[in-house]
Amino acid sequence: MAEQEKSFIRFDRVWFSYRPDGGDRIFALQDVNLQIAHGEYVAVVGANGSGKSTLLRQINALLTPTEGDVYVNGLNTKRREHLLDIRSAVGMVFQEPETQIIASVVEEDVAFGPENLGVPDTELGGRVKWALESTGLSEMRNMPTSTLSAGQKQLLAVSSTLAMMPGCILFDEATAMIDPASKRRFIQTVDTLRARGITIVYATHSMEEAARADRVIVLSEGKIILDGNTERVFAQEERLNTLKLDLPVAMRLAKNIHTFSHSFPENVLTAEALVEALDARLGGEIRAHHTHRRAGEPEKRAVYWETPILEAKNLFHRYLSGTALEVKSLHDVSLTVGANEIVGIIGPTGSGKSTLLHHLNGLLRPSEGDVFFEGVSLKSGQIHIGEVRTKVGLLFQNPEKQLFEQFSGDDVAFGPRNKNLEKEQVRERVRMAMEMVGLPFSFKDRKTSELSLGEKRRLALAGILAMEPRVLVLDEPTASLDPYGRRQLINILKQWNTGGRAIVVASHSMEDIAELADRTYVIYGGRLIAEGLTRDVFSHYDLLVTHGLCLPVAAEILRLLSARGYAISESLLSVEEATEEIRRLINGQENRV
Amino acid sequence: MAKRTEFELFTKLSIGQYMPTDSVMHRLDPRIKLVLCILLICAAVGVGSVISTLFLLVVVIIGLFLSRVQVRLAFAALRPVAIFLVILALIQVFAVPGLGTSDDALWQWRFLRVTNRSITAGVLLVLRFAVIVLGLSLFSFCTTTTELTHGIEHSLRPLQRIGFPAHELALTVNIAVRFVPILMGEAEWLMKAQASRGADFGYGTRRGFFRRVKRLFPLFIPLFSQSLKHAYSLSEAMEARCYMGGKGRTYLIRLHAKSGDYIALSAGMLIISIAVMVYLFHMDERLWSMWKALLKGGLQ
Repeated sequence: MAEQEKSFIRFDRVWFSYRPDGGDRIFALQDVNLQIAHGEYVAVVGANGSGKSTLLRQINALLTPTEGDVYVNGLNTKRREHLLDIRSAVGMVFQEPETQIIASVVEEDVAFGPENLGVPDTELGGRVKWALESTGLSEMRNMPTSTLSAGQKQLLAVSSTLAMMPGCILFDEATAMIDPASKRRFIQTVDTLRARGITIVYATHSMEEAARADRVIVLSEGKIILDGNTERVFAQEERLNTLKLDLPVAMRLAKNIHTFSHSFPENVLTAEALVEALDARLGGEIRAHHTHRRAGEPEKRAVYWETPILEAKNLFHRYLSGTALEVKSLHDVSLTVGANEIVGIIGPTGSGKSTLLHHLNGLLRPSEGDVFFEGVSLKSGQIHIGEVRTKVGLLFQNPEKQLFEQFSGDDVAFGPRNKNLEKEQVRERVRMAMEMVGLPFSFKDRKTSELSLGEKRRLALAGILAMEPRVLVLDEPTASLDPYGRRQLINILKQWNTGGRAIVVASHSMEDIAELADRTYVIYGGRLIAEGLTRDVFSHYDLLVTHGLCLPVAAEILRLLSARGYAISESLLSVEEATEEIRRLINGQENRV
Repeated sequence: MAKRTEFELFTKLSIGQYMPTDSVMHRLDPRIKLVLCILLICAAVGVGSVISTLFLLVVVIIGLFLSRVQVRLAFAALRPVAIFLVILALIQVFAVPGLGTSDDALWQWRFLRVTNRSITAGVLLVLRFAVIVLGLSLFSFCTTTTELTHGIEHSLRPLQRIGFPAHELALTVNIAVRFVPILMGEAEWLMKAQASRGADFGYGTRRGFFRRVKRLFPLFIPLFSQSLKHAYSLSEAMEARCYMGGKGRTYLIRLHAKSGDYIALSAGMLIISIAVMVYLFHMDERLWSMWKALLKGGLQ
C-alpha cells in the first residue's frame, strides 16, 4: 500500500501482552498508533514500567504485537521472512553495557552484525574501521572488550549497531549506567548520527536528553498520552507532573524567569539555548567587569567532630594483592562523616568509589590504613565486623542484586532475622522500615520480581533500614529511576537523616549530589583529588571537567553566563538559587536603563 | 601483606590467565597450539615411563621460558594442589596393592609395601600432573580465549559440511569463557549484599565450615536468576544484530598458518613421538639396566 511506504515505522492499533494466553491479560502496550518518518529524532519518555522498552522492542521485532501490526519500511514485523530486513534496518543499543557485547575483542564485536548479514569478508575490515571511527574508538580496535569502561562499552555497542548500516537506531536508556563525561560523549555521538540522517528513537528518564529530540512521545501504562513537537510536549507541565515526569532544568529556570520578566520565552529546552536567550535579553550591557573564577583546588575545610561517626584514615587498597594481576585501587584516601551529615562522593567509572564504599562497612579490608566506626578501629577487634555491617548499611546500585527472597516481607526481614530477633520484633521492624520508605505494609506479600524498579529500590532500602543502621552508604541510589521515583527517594533520605544519623552517597548524578550532600569528596584514579563543601567543590569547573565530571545543570547555566562575562556569584547550585541570581542580573540591567 | 576478605576468593584464580608478553609462543597459530596441547596431555596420560614424562616436563619448561612469562607463575598453579599430590603419591608408593609382589619388596610393614614399581608409579603421578598443569598454563598464558575459539572453529569448520555445528560450538565456548568472570563478580556482589545485611560468611575465620556452606545456599537462587537474565539480555542483543546461527555467516578473522607454524607443529609432533617411542620400546628400562651395569662395572 502506498500509505504504508510514506512512513519508515508505523504502529497500527498495537496491543501487546507478555502473557497473551493468561486469563487476566495485562497489556504492556494498549492501542498504540504511531508513525515515524525517515530522519526523525524521537524521544520516548515515561515512568518506570510505562512500556518504553516494550515499545522499542516492537520496532525491531524482538517482540511482536499480540493484536495489531507494526510495519518497518512497509514490512510487517510478524512475518519471519522479513526478520533480517527489519533488524538490519533498525539497530538497537541496550541499557546494560555488560550483556550487549558479544565478542571478546572490540573489532570482532563490531564485525558480528555484518558477519551475520553475510557481508563479504573483503568488506568487513572496512566496515569495522568506519564504524569505530564514527564513535571515536578506532584506537581500541584490538583491545579485549573486558578492559573497556562502561562508557566505552556503550560507544562500542553503537559502533557494532552502526556497522550493520541501519536506517534507524533505537536507544533503550543507553546512558543510564555511565558517568557524566561518557554521557556527554555518548550524546555527542548520537548527534552526529542524527546529522547523517539516521532515524533515532531514544528512550530515556533524563528530561535533559529528551529535550534534544525533535519530537517527544510520552507513555503511561502502555498508552501514548502525548506525542508531538518537543516544545509543545514540555509546555504541558502539569500533565507531565501527573505522569511522574518533570521538565528539563533549563526549562524550569526559563519558566521562573518568565514570572518576573514576562517577555522572556518560557519554552527554552536546553542549557545552551537558555544562555543564548538570556544573553539576548541582557544585551551584554553588564559585561563590564570580568569575574574570575577560582582556579586550582578547593580549599580543604577541615571539619572537626568530637567523634565522627565514621572515619576512614589513609586507606590503601590493592585488589588481588600478591598476584600478577595486582591492581592498586585506593591510594591514601581519608574521609570523615559526622552526625547529621550527608557526604557525597563523585568520580568517573573505575575511580575507586565503590571500593571506598565497601571499606566503610568492612566488606573490604584496607591493605594499609584503618576505618573507625564511632571512634573504634575496625582492625582493633573491639567491635565485631558483622556488627559494623549492620550499623553501617550499604545499599548497592542495582536493587536486583540485593533482593534475594521471593516475597517482599521476607526480604526486608532478612537483616532482622540474622540478628535472631523475636518474631514479633522482626514483624515490627519490617513494618517500620516499609513505612519509612513509603511502601504499605500489605506490600510484604508481593513477589519481589513483580515490583517496579522504583519499588524495588525502596524495598532494598527498607531491607537496610530494618537493621536500624546509624549510617547509610548508598551507591548510585537514583540510577534509572524516573523523575518522580527519584524525588521520592531523595525526600525519604532527607527525612531519615536526623537524630545523629549520617549518609554517604556516591553518584554519577551531579544533581543528586548538589541536592543531597553537605560536603563532597572527588575521587579519581583511586586518589582523593578534592574535598570540601559541596558548593565549593562545584565552583571548580576546570578541576571537575578534567576529571570526567560536570556541573549540575543550573550551575552549568550560570557558568556559561559567567564565561560570557556576566558578573555571577559562584557556587550556586539549585534552580531556585540560579533564578534569584538571574533576577538580580535582569533587575540590575533594568535599573540602569 | 593485606588480609583478604572472605569475598575476594572468587577473583584470585590465576590459572587460565592470559599473559600478554608477545613472545614466539604467542604468535603461533592457535590451531597448532591447540593440537599440540591436546597431544601433550594425551601423551602425558598415556605414557607410563618416567624418562618420557621427565623429557616432556623439560620441554614444557623450555616452552615456558620461550613464552617469556615468569615460570614462577606457572608453578604457582601447582601450589594449591601440591599437598593432595604428595598424599596421592605416597599412597601410590606405599599402599597400592598389586604393584609388585612381596618378593621384590624393598621395604615392608604389614600392608605397606615399597617396591621399585610403586616408587616409579608415585614419581610418575607427580610428573604427569606437573606436565599437564604446566602445559595447560603455558597454553593459557599465550593464547587468548578469542584465539582459542577461532582455533576450535577453524579446526572444526571442515566438519560443518557434514552438519557439525562448529561455529555454534566456538561461540558457546567464547560466551561461556566471557561470562565466567561476570558471574563470579556477581556472586561476590551477592555475598556482599547479604553480608551487609548481617549474613555471616565466616568473617575470615576457619570455624564452622558447614555453617559457611549452608550460608552459600541463599546465593544460588539469585545467582541463577541473574544468570538467566544475563542470558536473556545477551540473546536479545544477538538477535538485534541479526544472529540466525552459523548459516550464511562471513568471517572477519581467517587464520593462515605460516611456515614457522608448520615448523613448530613438526617439532612438537617429533618431541611427542620421541616420548611415546621411548615408552613403547621400553628404552627407559634398557637405559636403567645399562646404568646399573655401568655402576657395577665401575665398582669392580
